[in-house]
Amino acid sequence: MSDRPAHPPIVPWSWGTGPQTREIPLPVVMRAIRTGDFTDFDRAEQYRPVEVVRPPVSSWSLILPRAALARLSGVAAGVVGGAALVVLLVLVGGA
Amino acid sequence: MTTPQTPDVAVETARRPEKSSFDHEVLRAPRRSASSAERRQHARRYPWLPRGGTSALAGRPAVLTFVIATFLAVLGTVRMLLPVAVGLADNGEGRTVACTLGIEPVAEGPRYFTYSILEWTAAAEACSGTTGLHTALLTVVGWLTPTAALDLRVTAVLYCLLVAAAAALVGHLARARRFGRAATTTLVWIVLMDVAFAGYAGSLYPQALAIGGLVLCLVGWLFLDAQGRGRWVGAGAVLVGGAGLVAAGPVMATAAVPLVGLLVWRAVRAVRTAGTSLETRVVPAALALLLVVPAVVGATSATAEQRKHNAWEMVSVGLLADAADPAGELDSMGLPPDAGRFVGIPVWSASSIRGWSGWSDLEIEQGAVLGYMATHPALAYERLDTTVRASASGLPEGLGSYTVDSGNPAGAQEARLTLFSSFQGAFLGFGAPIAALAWGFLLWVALATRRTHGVREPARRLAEAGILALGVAATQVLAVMLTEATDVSRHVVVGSLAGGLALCLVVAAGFATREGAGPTSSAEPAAEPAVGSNGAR
Repeated sequence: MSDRPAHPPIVPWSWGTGPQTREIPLPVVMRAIRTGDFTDFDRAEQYRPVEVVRPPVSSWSLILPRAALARLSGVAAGVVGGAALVVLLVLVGGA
Repeated sequence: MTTPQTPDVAVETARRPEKSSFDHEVLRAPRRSASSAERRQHARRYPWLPRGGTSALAGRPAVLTFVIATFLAVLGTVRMLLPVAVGLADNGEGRTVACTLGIEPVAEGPRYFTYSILEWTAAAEACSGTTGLHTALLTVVGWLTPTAALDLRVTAVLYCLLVAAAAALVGHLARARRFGRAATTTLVWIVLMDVAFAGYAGSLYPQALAIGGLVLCLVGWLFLDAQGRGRWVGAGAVLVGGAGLVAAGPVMATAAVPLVGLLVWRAVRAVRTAGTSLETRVVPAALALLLVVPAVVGATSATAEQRKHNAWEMVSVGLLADAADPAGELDSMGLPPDAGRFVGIPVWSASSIRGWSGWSDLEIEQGAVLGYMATHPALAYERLDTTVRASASGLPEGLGSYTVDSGNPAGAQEARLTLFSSFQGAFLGFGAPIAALAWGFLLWVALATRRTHGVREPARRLAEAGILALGVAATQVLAVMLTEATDVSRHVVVGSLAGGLALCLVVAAGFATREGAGPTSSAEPAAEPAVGSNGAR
């Protein structure tokens, strides 16, 4: 049990109404039934799911994932900045 | 009971094995000798090679790369010089270069528009020209041709050598998948030896220098992250090739924007990432600084007279040719309304504005032209569309490719290898929206490929070079759209080629993508573990 991760993987079929509850996950229950060792039930507190603080949902995040939006913004900024530099070079050199 | 995992976690683990994992250690180990299984695999991959050759080449991909490069160099030379040599006829702009070099055609005959002139001798009458990197290199080429002052067949052969090396090296990096090397090598060679680009090698146009510089720079970029001396060779190629590219002229100078920008980006990324060596941080920044100088030289290389001609051509032919009230439009640009009667007449024609008494006092600011385009977006879009279509048109219209003693009719354009230009012409002929979609798609694929591969992986190096090529293509199209109204297909040829090479590099990146790590990774052990996928995201 020493190499067990801090929390079990989130499983959609966990005991109760889902992984957001403090119920004992199904794999732990199954293992306990199989081995007859129910001591893990006393450590149920350690299986508390990680609190995920999510930013408020906006219309933009409904359209695109935030990471993709950030990359898209970066690429767009690069394209616009590059175009501005090209115009500057044309003005300097007169082509 | 197995531990359940979400699909994302499973994919992430497969894509990036941990640094301490058994797979990673095994794949990092340099290959010493080929096993019998590898020889069998090699024999299956290259069934056209003789059995002994297959055995000798197994586990030594660089040797096969050299063999392929040699073969392609010979094939390219045959394509350029036999049965008759191919170049590109001059439309008058090469005269400046010829004057700088003090040369004139050896053979008698028409000098402009109809036949390419490859052999040059010392000029009897002097004329003035402008010196630059292009003329300096042609002077060096002249030293290599003792029988004449300059023989452009030498530059054609040099171009063939460069193209062969570029095609073989891109194929070398893309050999992770079956047919990867063969497909990408062939694709790059076909693009670079296409009639739309190869003919410039046999001409006095500065586009020849820019095309050669672009190819050299992109190949050098592929090896900026190579192991050992390869990275220094790559840095040198980026510097020399980039300098040739941006110093070739005012339009080509705008290619410095993506080139310097991406180098600065590399430097910033290296500084932000812990554990990178000093060399990794300094070299890109130094390259960026050094390339600013030729970029400024190239941007300011046009004389005041050339700038004036260009600006009037853009106003007269590019913007106001169909205007209902040209005089009023000229007035709104701060130009004399009297010049309205010359609108629509090319500046080099006999009845152009150059014969007008007010021409010498006429001053046209480039800012006024750009301002007019900014206030007339429909005209600006039309210029963009014209530029994109011109980039797909292959050879400039009305310029011959054969020499006068070839027996071909005047103005005949050679069409021995038109696979790529035909495809590009059919595709980009739809106009700017299709080009934007195609180049945007290539950029998206290149960015995604770059993000999902480690620093030294060939797929990432190819994808980064593809991004650079796309940047060059975009800047060239934009600059030509803003400044050039005549002979657009020649002015935008560097952008057209850059777009084609971007396609090649993205395809090669796809071939270099392999689940886990391929044989290319085993040949290049990572030296900078800290510059990982997460840091570079």
